[in-house]
Amino acid sequence: MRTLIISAICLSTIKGFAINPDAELLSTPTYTTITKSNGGLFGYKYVDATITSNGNGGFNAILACSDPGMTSCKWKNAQAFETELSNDELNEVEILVFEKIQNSRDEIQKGNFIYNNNFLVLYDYNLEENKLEYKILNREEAKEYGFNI
Amino acid sequence: MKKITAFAICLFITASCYSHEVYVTKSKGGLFGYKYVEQTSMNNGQVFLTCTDPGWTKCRYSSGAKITYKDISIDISLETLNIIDETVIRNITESKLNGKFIFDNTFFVIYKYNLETDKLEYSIYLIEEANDKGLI
Repeated sequence: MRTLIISAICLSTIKGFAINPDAELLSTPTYTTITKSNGGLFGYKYVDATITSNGNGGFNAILACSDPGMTSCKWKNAQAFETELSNDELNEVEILVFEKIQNSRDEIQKGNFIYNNNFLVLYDYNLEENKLEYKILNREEAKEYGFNI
Repeated sequence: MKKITAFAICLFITASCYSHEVYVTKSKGGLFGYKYVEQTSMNNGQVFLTCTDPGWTKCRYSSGAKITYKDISIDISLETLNIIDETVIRNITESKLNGKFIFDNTFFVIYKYNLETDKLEYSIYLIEEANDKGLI
């Protein structure tokens, strides 16, 4: 909770540098990471969202959900906005990740795809551990992973 | 496999003791469903639906069932079983982790969800049996 508050304060301080709805992309590397592990039938016990400045006007966001509980593993609207992707876009990315994993049905899966011509999505799923992690990288961040979009 | 057999035996013994007619357990599922999904009908009319471990299969009934108690025998359709299942899920989502309700003036449902173990159990009885057992 404290992390969230600190992050929110940081965000409100430097928000003006980062938000530009008309820009195709921010020029600095940013990423969004979502981790879901050991969830329950009705959701998660721990749902922690952390958004931090990367020091260059961009933001990195992490949503970590774990253990059985009653909370959905979701971003709040404001958090999604700060990560360059709208809530709808984040949901769409998740649906695509789920589709790819379900279509494959391998017990351990690693893969990637380009979303909306602008983002690289890397995903990693382990069935036995019931753990899914995926990252959404903008173009600049993707370069650091060796991908040119 | 030994674990599954032992689990099935325990399940049978437990179910026999309480003699409920439809007994459902869902535990330790994954993001995409369950590894083991099994619906079993016993000769005495009991029906078990058991779903465990992370996998790719939804925890769904494969068919309806016949519930028999004393001289009463009632068919319970697949649709009705699914509606009861959805009702249980909805109640728990509304933070009622344990509870009971009467469905369609015919069936009595009692359920409990253990958050720590992520295990959901529920039983469907005919109202007559639930009355006789003092559950209502």
